[in-house]
Amino acid sequence: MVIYLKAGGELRAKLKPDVDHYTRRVETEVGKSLAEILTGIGINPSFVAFAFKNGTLKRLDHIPSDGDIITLQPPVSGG
Amino acid sequence: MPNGLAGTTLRINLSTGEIRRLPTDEALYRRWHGGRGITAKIIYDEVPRDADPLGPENLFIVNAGIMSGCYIPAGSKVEFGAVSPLTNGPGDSNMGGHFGPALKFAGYDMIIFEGVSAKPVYLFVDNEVVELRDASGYWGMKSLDCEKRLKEDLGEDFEIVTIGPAGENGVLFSCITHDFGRQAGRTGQGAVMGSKRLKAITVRGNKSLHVKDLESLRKQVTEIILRTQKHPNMVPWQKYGTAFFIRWSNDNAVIPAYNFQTTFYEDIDKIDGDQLVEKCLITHKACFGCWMNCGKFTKAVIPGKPEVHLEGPEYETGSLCGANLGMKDINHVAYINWLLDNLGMDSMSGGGVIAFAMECFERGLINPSDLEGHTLKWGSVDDVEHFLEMVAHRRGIGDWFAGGTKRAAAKIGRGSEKFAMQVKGQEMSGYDGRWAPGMLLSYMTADIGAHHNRSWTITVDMAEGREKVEDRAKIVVYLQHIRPLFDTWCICRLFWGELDITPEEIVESLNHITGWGVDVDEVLRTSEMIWNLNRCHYIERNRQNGRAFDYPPARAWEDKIPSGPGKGKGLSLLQIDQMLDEYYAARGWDKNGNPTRELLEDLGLGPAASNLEELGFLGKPSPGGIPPVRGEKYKPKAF
Amino acid sequence: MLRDDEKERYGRQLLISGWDQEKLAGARVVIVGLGGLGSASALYLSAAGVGKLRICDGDKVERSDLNRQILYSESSLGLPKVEEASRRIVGLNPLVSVEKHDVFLDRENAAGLIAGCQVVVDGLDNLESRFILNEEAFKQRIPFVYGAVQGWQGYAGFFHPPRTACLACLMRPDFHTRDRIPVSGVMPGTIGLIQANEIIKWLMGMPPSLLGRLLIYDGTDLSFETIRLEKDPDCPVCSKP
Repeated sequence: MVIYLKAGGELRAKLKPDVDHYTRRVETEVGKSLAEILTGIGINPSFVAFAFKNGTLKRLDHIPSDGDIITLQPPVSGG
Repeated sequence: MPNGLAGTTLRINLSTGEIRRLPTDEALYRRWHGGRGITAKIIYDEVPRDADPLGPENLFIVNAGIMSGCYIPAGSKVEFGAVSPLTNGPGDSNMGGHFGPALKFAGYDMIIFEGVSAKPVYLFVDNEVVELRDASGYWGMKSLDCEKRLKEDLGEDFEIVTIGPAGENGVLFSCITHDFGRQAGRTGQGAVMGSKRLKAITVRGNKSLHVKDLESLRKQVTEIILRTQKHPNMVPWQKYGTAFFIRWSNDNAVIPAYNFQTTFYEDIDKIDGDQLVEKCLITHKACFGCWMNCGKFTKAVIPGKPEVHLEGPEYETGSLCGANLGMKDINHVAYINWLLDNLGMDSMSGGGVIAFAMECFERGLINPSDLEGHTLKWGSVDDVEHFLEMVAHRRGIGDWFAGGTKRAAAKIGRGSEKFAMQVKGQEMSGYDGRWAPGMLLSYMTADIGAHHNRSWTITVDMAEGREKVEDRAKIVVYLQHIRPLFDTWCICRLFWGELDITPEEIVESLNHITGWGVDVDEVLRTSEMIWNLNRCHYIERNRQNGRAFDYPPARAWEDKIPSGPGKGKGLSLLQIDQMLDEYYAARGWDKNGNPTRELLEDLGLGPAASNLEELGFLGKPSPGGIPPVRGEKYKPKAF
Repeated sequence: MLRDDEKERYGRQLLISGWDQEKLAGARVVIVGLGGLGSASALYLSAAGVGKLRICDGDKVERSDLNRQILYSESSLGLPKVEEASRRIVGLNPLVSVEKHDVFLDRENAAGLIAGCQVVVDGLDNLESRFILNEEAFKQRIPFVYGAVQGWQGYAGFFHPPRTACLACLMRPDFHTRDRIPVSGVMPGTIGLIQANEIIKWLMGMPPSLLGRLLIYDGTDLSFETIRLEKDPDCPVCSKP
């Protein structure tokens, strides 16, 4: 199946977008979690704080469905 | 004398002023068929992959084709080819009128310009006389004004192509203008001409051409002429020209409105073909050898502005500078058409750039202080006039937009890339693809960016299902082979493709002219070969997998159509990907959108395969191999 | 009843329909951390007339603070932040009562630092402290107005568990963070003001827009995205009663 990952902030360069400026197309197996998918494309999940899909929070144990567009957000901890 | 050809090719070095006359390479025409086929081959072979499209190493090629001027109806076209500064890939554009045949009647099949002239020049061709002449007196003139002046200076019987200030200033979507209203608009050929300081080409010729079998040709086309005179499609073309389509597109919810935000325009009554005929039409105009007279010579009358004359608006300008800009008066649409023609900018990309800028203005991404105190509101012809002057002369923020919507969005940022309606850097034609998946796929995969003419599928989408993406790709592939043949042979698709003349009949005419004895399948393979050469060229220049360049802007999948008959319709990114996967499989390319060695060698393009391999972009072979025939034959309902 | 000097000071905001200055005057707000975020929220909450501001930070002002921590100036270098902040706040609005705590937040002092306040404002600069604050705010059922910045990104949220998700529902403290976090001044300024705006609304009885939501701000393309945060049924903090 295919999912699309978008990234904000410093994650964008790590993601290597290939559909447009923000979005990367990823082919993956059904049933894998976001953390597993990220590991599979060479992104350490510890660089991702959380994700969201359709405006709702998703944690990295979320298992996406075919065609999902999921935005990844980096940890942001300064003040 | 060769069949269908004038016999001489000119090679002109603008840096040195050298003009060489060479015998036309007939073997090249036999293999590549002329027009965009030959321009594709020559720029692939001779322009270095890292050459600046606006620099001396780019070539600018004028090719008059094999069938043009050869005793057939509508054999009127001329092709221009160069590496496009807009897409950074192989570019070509053509125009009707009379220039192509005139060039052949003067004795020349093709002119290849290289280098850059130190001073503005124009090429003067009068049969045997070929000279580079000083154009400093014409440099800076607007296109239509320049053509008029050259005709006054040289004679009414000269056929002339010119660029306007936009081309001189390197606006990347500059066009070439001819016969006071014909343009070669797409891919920025006018910018290439301008980069070489070539202001115009003027041609007079009165030789005749030789064909293989004139008797059989005459008999065949006489029958075609008599038959097509009574074809019902003649009626709308003759009355409206392609402006007939404006209302049709709106009724079928494919017209772009407000920068492709929606596909139904409430004020279509004010800017459709009927309005054109009622308010603007002066007379009908024809190209060489054609009585369809689809050209509309018109006036634009706006209180407070001088009356101007132009040819148009055609459908593309009528939609992209009409509903797409929120215009509410056909005179305003015609006036904008005239501005673009005279300044020398493609009215299709021009409409797309203006619309993009208008949406940026609406969203507050640009403001009056960027626009020298002016606004850029939907529907304002005055705002558009000022904006276009800024763009043509690359003043202030006009410089950003002079590069097209993709480059402008990169400068403006703030998410504007989403609604820069282009693919590969070239703006979309006047059809929205969200409820026409084949059309969207056509935009995504056309070799020159988001142009409709390679494969126009609206009626295919309507017949096969507007929300269905499966099985569309094979049809797109076929159309991408058959339709560009008109540009390869330099004949007009409106006559030869819209009046139920069959591909077999066109090939029969080709054979009567050339004596080649080809059939439809062979010409389709030639077209496929040209297509794949251009794909290799694009990948080699841009050094990424082909797939990276085949996506539309995010509006195509993020924004469903908000109003009109198409409300709520739209494709998902997954569906767009499915279409691409199917398309690549249908083409014999791999999943990255790269041609495979098996395919390229099948088409006789082995060296191109080696070039891709060296760069690391040769397509990986698939276990099942390539399809034996690429593309599924389909006859769309013609218009 | 407002005195004449209060009516004069707050005159412009009193023109806003529905404005309740007396509620602000009676409010007790704690700001933990007086860096870039805390600078912005402290100044604007005091300008708005929040009656009692409890401010906490154990740090001293350094020159590298001055690109973003607008409570301080060159003359503040080396001085305790709470002292300098207090001076600035009172100088702007003498009607604000400032309670100073020259301490860094930790597990031992967190409860006392926030006790009795109506809302906790995040001005911290590290995740570990934020989780401590989040947990303590939950225990005392005080809303926690989260803010964080890094590079061109900023987050803000108004968490009030058990009604809404908390910070630990959003993320767990098990990912990569940097020792020195890149920050320009405008980012904590922007987020700090968004926090202040939400607090002012809350104190006056208006619903905060970020209640149970997270704002994601990207300064490079000026995008503001708000996502819904559902409570994590396995949250180590707020899923327990």
